[in-house]
Amino acid sequence: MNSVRTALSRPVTLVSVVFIVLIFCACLAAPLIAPYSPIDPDPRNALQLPSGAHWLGTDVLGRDILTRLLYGGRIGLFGPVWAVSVAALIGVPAGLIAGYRQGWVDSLASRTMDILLAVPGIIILLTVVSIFGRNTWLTMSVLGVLMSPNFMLLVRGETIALSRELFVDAARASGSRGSRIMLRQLLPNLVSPIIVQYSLAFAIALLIGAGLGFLGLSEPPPTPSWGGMIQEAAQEYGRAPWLIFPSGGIITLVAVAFNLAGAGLRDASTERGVSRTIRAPKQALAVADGTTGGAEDVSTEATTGATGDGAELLTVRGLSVGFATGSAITEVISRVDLTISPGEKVALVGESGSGKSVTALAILGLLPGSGSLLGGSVRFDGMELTTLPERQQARLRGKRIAFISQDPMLALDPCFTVMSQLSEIVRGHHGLGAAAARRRVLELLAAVGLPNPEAIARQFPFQLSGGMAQRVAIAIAISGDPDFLIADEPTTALDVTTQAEILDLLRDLAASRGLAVLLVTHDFGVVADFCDRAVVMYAGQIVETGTVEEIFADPSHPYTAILLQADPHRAEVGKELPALPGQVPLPRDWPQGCRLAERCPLATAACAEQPVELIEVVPGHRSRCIRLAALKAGQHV
Amino acid sequence: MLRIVLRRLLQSIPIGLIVLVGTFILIRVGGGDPTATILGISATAEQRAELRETLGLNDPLFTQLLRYVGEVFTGDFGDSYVSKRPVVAVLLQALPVTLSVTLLAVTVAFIVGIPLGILAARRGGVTDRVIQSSTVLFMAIPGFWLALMLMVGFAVRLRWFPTSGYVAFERDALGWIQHVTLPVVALCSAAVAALCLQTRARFVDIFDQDFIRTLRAAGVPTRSIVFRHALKNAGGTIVTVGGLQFIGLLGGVMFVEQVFALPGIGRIAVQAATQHDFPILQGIVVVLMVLVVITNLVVEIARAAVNPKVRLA
Repeated sequence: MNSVRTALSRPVTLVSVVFIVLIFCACLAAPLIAPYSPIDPDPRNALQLPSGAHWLGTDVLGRDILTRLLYGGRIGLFGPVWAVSVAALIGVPAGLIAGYRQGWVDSLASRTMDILLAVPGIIILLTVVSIFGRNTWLTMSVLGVLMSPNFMLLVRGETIALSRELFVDAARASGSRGSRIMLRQLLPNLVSPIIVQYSLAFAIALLIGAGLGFLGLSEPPPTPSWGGMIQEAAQEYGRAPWLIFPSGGIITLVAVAFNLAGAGLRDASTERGVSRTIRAPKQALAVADGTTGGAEDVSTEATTGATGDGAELLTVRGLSVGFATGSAITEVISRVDLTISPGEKVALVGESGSGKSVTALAILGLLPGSGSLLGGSVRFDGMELTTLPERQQARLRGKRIAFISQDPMLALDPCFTVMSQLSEIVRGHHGLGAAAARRRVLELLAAVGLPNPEAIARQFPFQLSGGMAQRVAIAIAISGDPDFLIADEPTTALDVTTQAEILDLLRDLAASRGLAVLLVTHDFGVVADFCDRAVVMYAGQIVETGTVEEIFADPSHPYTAILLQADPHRAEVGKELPALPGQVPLPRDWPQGCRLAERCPLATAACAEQPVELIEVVPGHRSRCIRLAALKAGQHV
Repeated sequence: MLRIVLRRLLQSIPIGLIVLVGTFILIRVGGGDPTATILGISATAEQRAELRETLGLNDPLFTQLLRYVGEVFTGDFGDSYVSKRPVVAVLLQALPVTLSVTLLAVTVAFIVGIPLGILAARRGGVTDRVIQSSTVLFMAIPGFWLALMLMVGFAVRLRWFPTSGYVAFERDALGWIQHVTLPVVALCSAAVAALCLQTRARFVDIFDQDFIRTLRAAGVPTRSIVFRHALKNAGGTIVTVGGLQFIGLLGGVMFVEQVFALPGIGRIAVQAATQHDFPILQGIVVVLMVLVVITNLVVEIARAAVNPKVRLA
């Protein structure tokens, strides 16, 4: 029921629910609050426009429209309430039992619902009215039966999903009876989706009920119904066009309110709609002119001198990235500096949540929708990417900067064959004709070591194995002859043998093509195997950077030291693997001082006091730790 | 592919049969003596008894049922109680009217709804909010009320369109367009909104997926990502929703035909319901079920065409 509270905290949902409650109360209280009789004609006051005496005017018999709307709501609202309740009373138990028992019960229930879904609803309602006369409650009951599959299918699906979860298994194992599990364990979890379905179904039943009234198939006159009032208005549109508005308007408003209330509750219980509809406000970029991280620039220049010679391919300075949650923006990357020389292979290492993937995407200019640059500069081959128009950035992507993502099975468009998506990309890069592009694609597939390029090219991505799909993704990456490759955990989703093969392939390609690589990984084995330099990130900050040899031989940050000891590849036999207690804190919980302090065995009170800057340990090797002396003194981490 | 189509067809036969039997029993058991409807109240008892014999109403219910189902399968739905014309002839005359309005409405829904949905998903911000709010409104407006307002506004006041009636396309193409425009607008607005909303949701989903990032990282132009890759991936959802909307339109058209006095299935159905003309109602049940089956087949085929996973499964 928490989601109900969340939903009501949104003004739109709250207003909708309040409106619904008010309308229902007003219609129930019609005899008390209505100013006139809904039935007695008053011919002297026929067809009047709204006035002080008749707020919404009068109809052809001089009856007060407002009064008739209030009384008409009794059929207009409670008819649909009845219909949807019937639908829920049939659909919910049927769905629960079918989803929980499965087997033949499920087949029987599902087949029955198939039949109900195949029935042309409106015409059946007409037939029922024709046979049994204008009885709103009977008609609405039939409508309820016809709408019951909506509830049944929903509840069945949710029940099957919930039954797979542990708590039902536990209840089963402890010998609870089926009916008890369904009522006590399953049903409470289904309340939110059922309410959502109820309100959406209500809007539909309302419109159908009004439609039947409009066709003259609801309560016979003079009993007022909303649909019937539209029909009465339709006959007078020449003389009193105003009359069609009040009745149609109230139906529309109620339907809108139910749809909004249902949608609000659904969003609140999934939380997805909320975060997705909100976009980050466009941030003014603090372009790197020395205003961001100015003090650090000097030292960085000095340190990169060890590997670079002033001709860096990529220079990232003071890069900060934020994500919008609600109206607030949370910083997830804080002032990251990074340089990569041509042909250099740099690792970006850290646990999940450290911000390494976001850093990679920010460099590419492909932050997800809610993410935005908060400041800093990304210079690539002399061009400032953060201010480069999207069109020109797109031209760089693929041709100069390429990207490989983590899960190859998700990285390729499932609706196109390998040939089709690769040839589009190749043609975009090189402006080739169809035949030449085909040849080039086959060459590329051979170049990434795929055994039968012709056959692979005809496949759809979901027909490939993970290793093959990753090779295709690599073929896409190298198709534009880039000089810089960003690889985001390129081997994580693969099995161990394939991992080694893919890494070998990347190594060969990098060597033969002089590719610079930024490899995002959490695996120090991969770092040692592949990279020249490593940049270690923790909680959105760089905590240590240096050559791979130095970092492995002389880790100069407690975080690196612990990660290295925790690496199973380096474990000593018979010694327990150390592990960092806890998890990377969420961005909103980042402390002022050292972000590792809470988990760090070497932390002192001073660590938490103020932000820690990167300091140089030896030229080319820097660390963000004020307890370096203690670490070097061999205190246990 | 062919297997999917055949399986679908085979599945729909027993379901159709059950609905057919159900409505038959409902009408025979609940519908009273049709001879009063056919002959009028002035008929004598002998006349009515004679008619009962000719119609086979004295046979056991099961015999009547078998005879009815057999006749339906040979395309004979009996005669109207009121006009005495064959039901098939009546329905064949009305069907083109209903189909022109509903098919046109669903076409408009695709042509307008999909681009609006894409626009909302891609632009975000104010555009997105305006489009989303409009869809909420248009899904809530009763189609027949919208029809009425359009008629009062554009046909009665402005006289841009005729208020009622129908002209066949082959007789007068311009007249046909004039007569169906307002009904189509009234009918399609909710379907436009539904398609727009679903397209938007699907596009937002798709643009969160990794393969879009791969394409963008490979420098594929946005136009191709949106209209080639994302649209094809959204295709399955769009045709499924479109099919459901079309089935919904077949119900909604009943009301709209009433407003514009279009001589289609819906108007005939309402008339038949008030006159207790059960053979007509039963015939319409069958026709609508056939239309639903055809719609589902088209959806199935279209889904397989856009989604290789469905096709190759």
